[in-house]
Amino acid sequence: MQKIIRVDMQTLEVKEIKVPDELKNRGGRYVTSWLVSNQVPAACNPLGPDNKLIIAPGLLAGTSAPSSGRVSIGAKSPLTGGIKESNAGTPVAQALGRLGIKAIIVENTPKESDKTWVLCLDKDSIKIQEIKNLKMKSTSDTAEILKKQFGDKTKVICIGPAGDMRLSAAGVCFTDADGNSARYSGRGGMGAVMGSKNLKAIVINDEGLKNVEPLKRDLFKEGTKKFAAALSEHDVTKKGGSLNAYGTPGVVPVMSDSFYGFPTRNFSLGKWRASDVTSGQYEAELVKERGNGKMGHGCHTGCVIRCSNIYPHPDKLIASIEYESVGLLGSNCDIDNFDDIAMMVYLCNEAGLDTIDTGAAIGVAMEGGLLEFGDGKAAIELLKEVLKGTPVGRIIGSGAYITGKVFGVYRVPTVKKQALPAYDPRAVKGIGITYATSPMGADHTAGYTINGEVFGVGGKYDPLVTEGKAEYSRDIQVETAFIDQSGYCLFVTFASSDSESGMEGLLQSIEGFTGEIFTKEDLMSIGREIIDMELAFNKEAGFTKVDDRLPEFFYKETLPIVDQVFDVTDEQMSKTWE
Amino acid sequence: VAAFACYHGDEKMKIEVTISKEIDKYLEINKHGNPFILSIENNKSIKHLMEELGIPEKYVSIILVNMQHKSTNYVLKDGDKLSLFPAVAGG
Repeated sequence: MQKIIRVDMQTLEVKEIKVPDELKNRGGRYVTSWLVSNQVPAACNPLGPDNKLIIAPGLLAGTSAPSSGRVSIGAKSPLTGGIKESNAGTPVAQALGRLGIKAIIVENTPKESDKTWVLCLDKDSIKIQEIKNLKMKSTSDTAEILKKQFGDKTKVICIGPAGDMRLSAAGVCFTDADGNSARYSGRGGMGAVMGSKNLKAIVINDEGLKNVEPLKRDLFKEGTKKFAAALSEHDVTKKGGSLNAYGTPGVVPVMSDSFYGFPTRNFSLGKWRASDVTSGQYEAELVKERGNGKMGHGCHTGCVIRCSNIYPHPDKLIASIEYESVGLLGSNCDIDNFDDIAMMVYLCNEAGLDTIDTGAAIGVAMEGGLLEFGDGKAAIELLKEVLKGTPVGRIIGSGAYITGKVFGVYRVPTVKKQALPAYDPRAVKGIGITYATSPMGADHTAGYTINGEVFGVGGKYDPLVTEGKAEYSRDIQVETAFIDQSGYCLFVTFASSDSESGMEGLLQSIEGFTGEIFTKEDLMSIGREIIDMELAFNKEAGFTKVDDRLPEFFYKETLPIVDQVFDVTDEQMSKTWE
Repeated sequence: VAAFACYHGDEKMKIEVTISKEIDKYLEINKHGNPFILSIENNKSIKHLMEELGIPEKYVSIILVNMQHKSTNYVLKDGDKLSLFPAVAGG
């Protein structure tokens, strides 16, 4: 039986409530955006008692479907001021699924602000308890303390010091398959919302629980088998394919050296001089050379792609280096020492920070003169300031937008106050439309047009062309919204968009699970429903079409080599949601 | 930019080529992913050029000419900037 758990942080009451009919066959982003839309006043202060933190596993999380261990966190964002959903791949998703939890709603704010609370879930009980001395603890220390108390196998959701301080670039951290604090719902300040409720962590014990059973078992089996086969055959998702062998940083060389759109020196250049020594290919060489670390690491058990990795830093093993982190913490800060970049990733993970917004913030601070471009050691020290909670650390931990204001910088790469990921929109036009029009703020995963514009997956679209890109971005944003509610990882779309049997398997797996007929049209209409709820929330929160634009400098400053400004017209942009 | 010529008949035109590190091990002269200038005959398709260079077609997934996606049938023109990459994705 599925349930929703409601936790009131003021009364400390924990209640189980019935799942509304509208959410019966839905999960992840649908559930978070539906609950936020229906229960959070759009005009509320994101750090106040009226905001709610929603945690919802994807629909198929906890089943045997391949690569389906995603969990969504939703709330009104303290960063953007709009609705937010940020999802991550982690065994936590599967544990919540197995416990029959549709969603956890954390509401209200506590009476006493100096206490830290932990929510404990297992198959027999749900309780909230005070655990002392957790405030300002790093995510790994927090997980270690809690695993000592609740058992080694305990899965942990927690925030770091950035969340405790309610900084707007604070993410929510999850333990990975090895129990390390390395998986993130990084974007949009969800950690700050959790911190505003003094909820330091959620510990989950799903020992002895079996996988969730589908309603039409044979169809589910047939569908997931087909889908897993498509994933294992596709060039980028197969074993030994680029994602598995090099992780997401395998894209660094092609973005820098052929598309010239890899953000460098605070989005002023697109070709990165050190692309060959800060890539996934190079990390794979280091793993071999140094004899530790790992490529092809799974972020949750049951993932067939396994694109996560463990970086062999001389001082410690660091999970996981992602393309966006290399872009924002590395090239965008002109830092070319891979060990330094990996250490910055580690410190972001420890502080509980989004690597994208934090990297963009450091790039902006470099332009503003706080530290020199290329000074990796100074950047590392700066991140330690966040862990200590000093004023300058708090500025960086508040993200690129606030940092830009503090240092009086013109070139601040944000949309709806959220920092741009590592694709320069002047070199890849469609992704700029996604950045501008997504209800989430600048977010590549919201509508990953890079598929067609760069990789040539699911069709080929020339990157510098603007015509037709609004429609392309819209279709991908809608499909992605569905994927974000399904529990499947976004990377499964490489296979489902290139392989007919892959798409068929995906649809069958959903139908097999819910027992209700499910077509591609249903997929798109559910995705559109999610986006419409989110757009409506944002409108009520005060967003207008002016918020659906890139920062001015992208329209005025030419990106070298491609010799382009961002030239999607306002009229083209407006077509996206018409 | 390193330059080397590939003489098959008359030198007719020059193109700039970037071949990703994962594929350029098939080249006679390894370019480590750096761009280089190639002199080729007129009317040569990408397929033909790849055959001559010894790059197996199955290893190439992204073919970019002057920032446009092309197939191996594309006939190269003077001054073209060509990039060849294996299947990569994610990020």
